[in-house]
Amino acid sequence: MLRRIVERFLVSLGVIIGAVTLIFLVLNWLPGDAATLIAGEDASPETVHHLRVKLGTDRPLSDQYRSYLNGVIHGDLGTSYVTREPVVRRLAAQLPSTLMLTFSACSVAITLGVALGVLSVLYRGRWLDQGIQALSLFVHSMPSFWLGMLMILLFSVRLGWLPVIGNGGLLPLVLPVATLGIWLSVPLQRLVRDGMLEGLHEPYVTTLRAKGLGERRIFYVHVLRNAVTSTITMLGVLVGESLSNAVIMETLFARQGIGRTTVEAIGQKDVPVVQGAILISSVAYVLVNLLVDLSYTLIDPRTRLVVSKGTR
Amino acid sequence: MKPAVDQLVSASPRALPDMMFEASVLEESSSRSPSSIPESPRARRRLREQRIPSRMSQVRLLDVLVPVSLSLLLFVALCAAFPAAIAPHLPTDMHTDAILSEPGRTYWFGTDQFGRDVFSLVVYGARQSVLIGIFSVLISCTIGVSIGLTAGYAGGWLDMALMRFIDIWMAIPNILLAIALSTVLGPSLVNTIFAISVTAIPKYARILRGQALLVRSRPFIEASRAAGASHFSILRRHVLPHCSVQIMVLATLGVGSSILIGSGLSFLGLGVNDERPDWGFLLTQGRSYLSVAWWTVTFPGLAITSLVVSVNLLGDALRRRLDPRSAPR
Repeated sequence: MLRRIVERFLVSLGVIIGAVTLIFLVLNWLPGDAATLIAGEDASPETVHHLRVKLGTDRPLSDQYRSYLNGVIHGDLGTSYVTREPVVRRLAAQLPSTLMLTFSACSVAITLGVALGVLSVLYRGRWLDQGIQALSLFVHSMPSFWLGMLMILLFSVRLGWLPVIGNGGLLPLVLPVATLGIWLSVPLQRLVRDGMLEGLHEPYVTTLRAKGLGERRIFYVHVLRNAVTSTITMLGVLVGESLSNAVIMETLFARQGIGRTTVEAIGQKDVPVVQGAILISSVAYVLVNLLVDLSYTLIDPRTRLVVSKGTR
Repeated sequence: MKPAVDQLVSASPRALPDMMFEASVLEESSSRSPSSIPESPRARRRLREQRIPSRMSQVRLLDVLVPVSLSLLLFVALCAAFPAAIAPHLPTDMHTDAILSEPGRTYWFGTDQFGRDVFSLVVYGARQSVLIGIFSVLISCTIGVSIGLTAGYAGGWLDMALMRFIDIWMAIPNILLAIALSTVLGPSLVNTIFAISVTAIPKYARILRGQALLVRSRPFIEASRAAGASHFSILRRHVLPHCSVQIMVLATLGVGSSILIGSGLSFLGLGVNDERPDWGFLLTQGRSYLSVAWWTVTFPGLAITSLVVSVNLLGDALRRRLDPRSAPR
């Protein structure tokens, strides 16, 4: 068990280092030179050169990479080109807002996904199930920001119940969280539905029936539990998706957060900030997947026997 | 390992058509105990009354929906190919006397803040989404399938190395990777397509590797190896055709997700914004007038959604038709 944990941990560490490298390589191919952009169009070549030296972009790529990696290990993500502020501080200030959004959205998605999944199994084949299926197909095919706009149209413009933008308090959080939660609940709903339909035909259900257990208990305790356990594997994907979509949600609802900072930084060619933001999201994603992996060995004893090779 | 008999027993009901199997299970269990499948009493009563396997109604629904989505796709394709023949106005025509006018007889989808006809804008915007959908899937599918099949078929260190690389690739959330790439490459249609393709490659590689692993252990692979076939020709002539169903289904569904990511990118201002704005950018512009002109965001969004719904429906139908066992129930 301990060996497995250490092994998984090392693999994740490798993936993180790889991701840092990949992001670094992608972003430092930038054809547009940040120094020229910051200095302005009519700056003299000397100023640009001076700035380039100051930003450190005149050094060879391998050199830059080495010092960046060294910084990352020591918790230093560089300084913003634009505000000259340490990237870590800038992003740390934005982190709570994004975490709040993604965490609440994931909770909503899980609750809604499981509830709708169970409902569509219960009313299997009836109009409710078909309605849920049709709706989930529709929502799944929507851009998340369009869903958000429709929510704004309905709840803010038409009904006037909720504010569209803002950061203070819980009220402005409702729309983005609901949008993202509904949007993310679709794959979960499908997973729970398929898992339960499959589960109802498993031999263990026959065993439970033979033992004389009530159908209600079999359904809600055993089959449901197995289906919900399988959604834990989706948790990693869910977090990744919600971090990705946080960028779009924060832009749409004009919320503060890492996503919006990223979009702003992109406009300013502020490479260290973009790099740092993507790095944080990737690390969060890898860590959640690591936790999912480890918790799965605790929850589902069968996976302890399976050698991780080949099956993954 | 399960004993072979065990596997046979558990697999046997699957061999029956799904529909029959499910129906028989439902009947069997409802005759066994009064509270067969524990739902609300009402639903239970209905189930007993109904008896017709639920699959029937779904199949019938799909039979209707597939032609509908096919004709919608045809229409979108026509819009992409000949926008001038369909749109009543040019996307650059600014009707300054009718700024932000409601949908009506002259302007079917209303007009935007410049007085441009929203319907014409939507028609002209189709081309970008169609191009993004088709080409990014072509690129990502080709590369992803090659990586996946090679890794799965070769096994050993090559598999290990390729899959670790894919793991790293997947560690960067997809929209963020696409954002980074299109920032670096600058806004152009080709770059957007490239950025979207790059984010989609790992998905194909992962799934196709699994398929190749399954095919690899089949006896006919060993037989053709013994007959002197090269690895490359085995991959091309035996492994690839065996995975063609999965590839077709994945690619169809991939078109939908590419269009969605593409619209997200242009919503963030990373797409191409010339005088023919695409659907994502129309939504960005319409957002500012959300409270006064619902039509500026509703129709472009509806266009994206109905295109993606059609593609996804087609993918589902394809999966049901070609690969009934993996179809969602």
